[in-house]
Amino acid sequence: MAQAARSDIDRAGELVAALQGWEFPKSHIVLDEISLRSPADAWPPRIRIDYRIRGQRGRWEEEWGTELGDGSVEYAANLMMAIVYIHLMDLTAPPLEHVTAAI
Amino acid sequence: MRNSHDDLRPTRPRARALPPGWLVAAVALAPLLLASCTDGGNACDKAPVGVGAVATDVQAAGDPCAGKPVDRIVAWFTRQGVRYPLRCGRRDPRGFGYVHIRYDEGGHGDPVNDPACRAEVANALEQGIEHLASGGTWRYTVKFDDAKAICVNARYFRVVLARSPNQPDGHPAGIITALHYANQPDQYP
Repeated sequence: MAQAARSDIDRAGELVAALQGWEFPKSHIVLDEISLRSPADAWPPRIRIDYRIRGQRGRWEEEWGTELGDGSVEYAANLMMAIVYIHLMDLTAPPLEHVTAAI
Repeated sequence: MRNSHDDLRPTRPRARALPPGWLVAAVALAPLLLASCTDGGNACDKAPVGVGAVATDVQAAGDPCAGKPVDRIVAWFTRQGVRYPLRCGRRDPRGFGYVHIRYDEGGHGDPVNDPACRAEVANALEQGIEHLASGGTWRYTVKFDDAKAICVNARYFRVVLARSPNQPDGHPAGIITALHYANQPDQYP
């Protein structure tokens, strides 16, 4: 049990660490900051993504969970960013709720 | 994030945006299309050849993902000889995979139960213009000719594919989404 808890702590932190510096090249999406908003010993983690589309700020804060699978942190980071990408790729500005959250 | 919908019926693929001037273009092209259709050249009857597309649950008339885990594989698609899965995924928010394609944002199509939709996905992976999205994720976009565009009420079709890294089952996340566009996507190709 203690081992599982330690694994979860590592996984949340490692996931957010793996997301640092992520980019969507040749797009209008700029990722400014990705931060862990849940306690370090919590899984699934709550992750905040501060970003811009065409210069307009948005903040997407979600609890990410089972969809990230039980695989490697690298897998989870790639899948998470693929999901973020498809939800932002066609937008000309952040959704209203993301704009409001960013204020 | 975007409008979800409560209609859970399988739908034909829908375009993400209505094109300005579409009606005018349709009227202008009508004679051409009529001639084409009467010649037996109706592009609506010619779905892309779905080479390499295998639906593992095609026999299931309903939703093969009902009550199933997000990583369950419901179909396989091939690009350049490499097989990629379509997993169940989940609905919005954070939607991806089969249930996202089928249900979210008004429904993009049903790549398991609808052979035409499955063929579109297979065709986009083999014929689409490849572009890096991020990390191990790529997008593939096909532009339709005029006849096909009229038939499907869309001009483009795109598949976003996570090619790497692999899950513990030895396969990548696979197809994240697939959708039609009425107009050229903001990021193209």
